[in-house]
Amino acid sequence: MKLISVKTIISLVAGSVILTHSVFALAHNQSGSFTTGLAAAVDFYTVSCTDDGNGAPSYLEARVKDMTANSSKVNITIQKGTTNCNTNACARFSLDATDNDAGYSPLIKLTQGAGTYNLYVSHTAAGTDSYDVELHCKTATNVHTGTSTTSRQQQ
Amino acid sequence: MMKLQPKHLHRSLFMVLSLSILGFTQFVYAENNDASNRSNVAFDSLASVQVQCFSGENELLVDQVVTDELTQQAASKVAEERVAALSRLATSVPIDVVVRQKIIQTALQDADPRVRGQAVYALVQQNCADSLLLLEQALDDSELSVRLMALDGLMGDDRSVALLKNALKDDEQAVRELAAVKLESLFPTAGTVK
Repeated sequence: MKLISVKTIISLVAGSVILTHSVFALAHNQSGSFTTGLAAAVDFYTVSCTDDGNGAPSYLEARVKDMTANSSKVNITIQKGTTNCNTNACARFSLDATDNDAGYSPLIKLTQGAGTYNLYVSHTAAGTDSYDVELHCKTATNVHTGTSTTSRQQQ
Repeated sequence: MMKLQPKHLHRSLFMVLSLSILGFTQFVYAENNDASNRSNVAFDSLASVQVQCFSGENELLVDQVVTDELTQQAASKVAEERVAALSRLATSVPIDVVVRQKIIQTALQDADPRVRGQAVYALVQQNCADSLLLLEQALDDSELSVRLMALDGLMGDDRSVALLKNALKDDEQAVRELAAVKLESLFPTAGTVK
């Protein structure tokens, strides 16, 4: 029988596991729904952009998919910072106007470096709505870097 | 360098196989878990509804690929997939009216309220008999999401207005709010509708 090094076997197995995990780690999605159905409902999340070894975060990009076809449309607002906002935007908005397809709203970017971004999800009218927000923290050279989301308010 | 013994190879293979089986078991459990939820309904107001739809004036040519794809999606064990199929039916799709009717009929009796609600909305977008009767029944559903979808489907005819006014007395604030907004849009100069 051909002899193979134990190291080779371990490396192959470990490599496969790491590769699988990294593929999942690149996909950052936050799903939710407005449980109260109220027009004024706001779901609030914080998104932490950190350097996970891929580089320092430069911006957060996000888009939303309204997963319920009805009159009400889902939108997101991402926000960070309060200074010089007219020069470098502190908040951006995106609405998924077509809710009977698999498409997302236009992609928005907020270039406010590393730290905590606020993500607000709301809808245009009272009604049932579920959504999926896709978000990624990226470096100045568009490399995906540390992204984690925490739910703060569910309405 | 260490040499690989047969027992090392066996252990490695055993580990890989175990992890694969564990992953597959979790996948199957998740699917079954979703399917089991389909039998827990509080009050399904639409259980006895019979749908009868007709071809519209601007009917698209039937596309068998889209038909098969949507039929499969509507029969998925995953509720989100069933909702997605019905969302697509809320717009013009190149599917035979009989197939559309069958999908909606099945979905109206789904135990998941999100699916039932989306079916109500999809039905209103079709040319079907007794849509208003169905909406009236859906407004009695125990699930808020189904009642909201039914309200969303109401138009400006007398019977719809009566139903909207009745919805102003609903227990849920969201239902009252949506009914008020719809009445306001129908009668913008009338002020608050009583």
